Amino acid sequence: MTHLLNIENLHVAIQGEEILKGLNLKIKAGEVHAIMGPNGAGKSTLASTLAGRESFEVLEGTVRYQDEDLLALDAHERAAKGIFLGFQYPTEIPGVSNLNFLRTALNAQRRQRGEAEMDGGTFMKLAREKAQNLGISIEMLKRFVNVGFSGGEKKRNEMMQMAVLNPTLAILDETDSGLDIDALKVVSDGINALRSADKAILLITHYQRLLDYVTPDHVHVLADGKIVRSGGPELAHELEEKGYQAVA
Amino acid sequence: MTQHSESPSDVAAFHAAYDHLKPALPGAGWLRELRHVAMTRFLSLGLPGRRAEQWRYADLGPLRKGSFSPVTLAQETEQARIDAAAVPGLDAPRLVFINGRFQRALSRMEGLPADLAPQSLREVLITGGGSLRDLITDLRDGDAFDQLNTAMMSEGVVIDVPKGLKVETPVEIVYLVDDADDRAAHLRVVVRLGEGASLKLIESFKGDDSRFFTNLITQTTIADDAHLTLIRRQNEGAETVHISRIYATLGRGALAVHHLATGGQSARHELRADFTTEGGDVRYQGIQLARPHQTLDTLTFLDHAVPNCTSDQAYRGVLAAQAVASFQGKVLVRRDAQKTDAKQKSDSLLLDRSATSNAKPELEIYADDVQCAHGSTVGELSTDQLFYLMARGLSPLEAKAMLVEAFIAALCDGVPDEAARNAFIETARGWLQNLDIHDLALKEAS
Repeated sequence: MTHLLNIENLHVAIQGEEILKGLNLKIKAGEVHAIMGPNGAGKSTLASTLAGRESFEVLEGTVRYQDEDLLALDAHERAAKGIFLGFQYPTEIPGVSNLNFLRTALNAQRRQRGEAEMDGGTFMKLAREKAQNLGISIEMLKRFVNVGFSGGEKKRNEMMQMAVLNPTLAILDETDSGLDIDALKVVSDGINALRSADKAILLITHYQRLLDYVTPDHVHVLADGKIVRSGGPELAHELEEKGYQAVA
Repeated sequence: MTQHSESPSDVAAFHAAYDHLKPALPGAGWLRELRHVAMTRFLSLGLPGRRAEQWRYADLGPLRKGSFSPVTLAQETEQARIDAAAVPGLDAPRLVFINGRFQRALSRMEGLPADLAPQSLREVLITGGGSLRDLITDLRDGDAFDQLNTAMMSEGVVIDVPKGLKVETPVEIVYLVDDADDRAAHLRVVVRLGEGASLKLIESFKGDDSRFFTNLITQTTIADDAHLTLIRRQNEGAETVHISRIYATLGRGALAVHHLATGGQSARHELRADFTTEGGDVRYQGIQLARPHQTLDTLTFLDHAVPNCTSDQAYRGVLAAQAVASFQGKVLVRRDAQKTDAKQKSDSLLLDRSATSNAKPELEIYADDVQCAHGSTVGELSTDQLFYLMARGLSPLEAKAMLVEAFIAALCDGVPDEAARNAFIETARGWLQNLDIHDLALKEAS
């Protein structure tokens, strides 16, 4: 079976400094992978690079997604092909309501895929349903994107976007950080709801606690720009017990 | 031409046009004399140069090069073009000007209260007697464009809202330029609100690519407890020079101006408000969207001469590559104007570093018990916001358009009429759609 995502020997620099130094990773549809690692290992660099942020310069290596050269695509094209980045620090956008943002994004993706745009009524129905599952009020959907949201609300809002956009590969960059236990539960439910045979999830996390709620198929340790160890869910526990230093 | 050799070359063409038109200009007696004096002043003043502080950021180049004669013939214009220039979906009485000429047949007065009867300025100038002196401000101390306007004004409209009349329906004025190369419109609009009266005036300026010169003065007097709302959408053609001025004199009344400017090769928008009675209030919300190689310029001057008046100004400018957009906002608080509350804020967004934004807040305060605040920012689109939107599927152009719209959203939302508000938003979207990605060039720093 071919891989949904296949990263080979990826080297990435930001502002001239090499952060990823030959990273390899293969993800099949249906799988949940967790990448763990200490601060500065390159976790967020990997996430941003996969999502297509221009300031991250790929020096070497290949990334194939659905058997296509992912690096040749712009960020919005990647989104339309089903890649979703859950931001570690979701950006505030004053003047744009959540609902307008979501609908514009969804229809921008649909247009790129040659699908008809979703009309207002159908969209509202979808948004309401997803919001309800995540405990997000209509009031919150009418507010400006992430403006004045608490840390937990921002992360929940990322899950809301993920639920509406329904991606094939979700890359969640420390979506669990800064969450209290209730918010963590909501976010985990959102992630678990996306799990299916034709989708994959890449969890990037610093702590093991999210993995108590979302059980990964594979766990990788990222250190100094490379995957230094891979294993099953038990690796996460080992990391928690012994620390990165000992495991990596 | 030799007879005009005493005039500076940049005003000679206007002088020639005046001489040619003089016999046909409406009005007699003292008005004729007033025109003559104004023309003489205009010729001695000449067009303002860049050294004049108030004209530092303006571009009068096209006026110096061109020769603009007032229109004498009516243009046959299709109704569809007028409708396209008007505010979509606004069901309101409408006055129509084409190339600066009032078109009674194309205007519609149905829906106006019985005691509100807008009059053609031209007809008033011809038939009006002694009351004309009250109507026409002579602008004796004004600059060259005031003088030119006084000398040449031949068209416009007079709206008198009697004491106590609150006009429920908005009134629309459409100024359309259609196939009028090298022509000019020197317009004077007079709006007078009696005590307790209220009126909402919605104006749309639209034009084709004629080399045209619009020179409009709107004079308004707002009596105690009266309220004038002026919503103006300036979207003239790309070869037009636009100069428009609002001169307001307030009693204990209120003026709200909502302004969107995108049009013209070079356009200048002015608001001057004089407070004459305690309790006056002025709200100004202005947006300028400048496309490449265009010069847009706004100048406001609020004269707090008496105590206890309030003013609040908010300006937002968006500039594409190679554009110039400026805001000069002056607030004068005279010695007696205690308890003045005056706020001013200007924010500009550069879509490309080749654009030039000028912001000059000017607070001149002689009273000691006042609240005055001003702020000014110039910024670029945030690369974090752009990436966030693109990571959700918006193309770079769509993402930028969404952020620009968000930047001016608060000022659009403030427009107190739904149809006009939507027209502001649609005009802004049209402006964005006419830009290509190069005009919006913004590379992420790497």
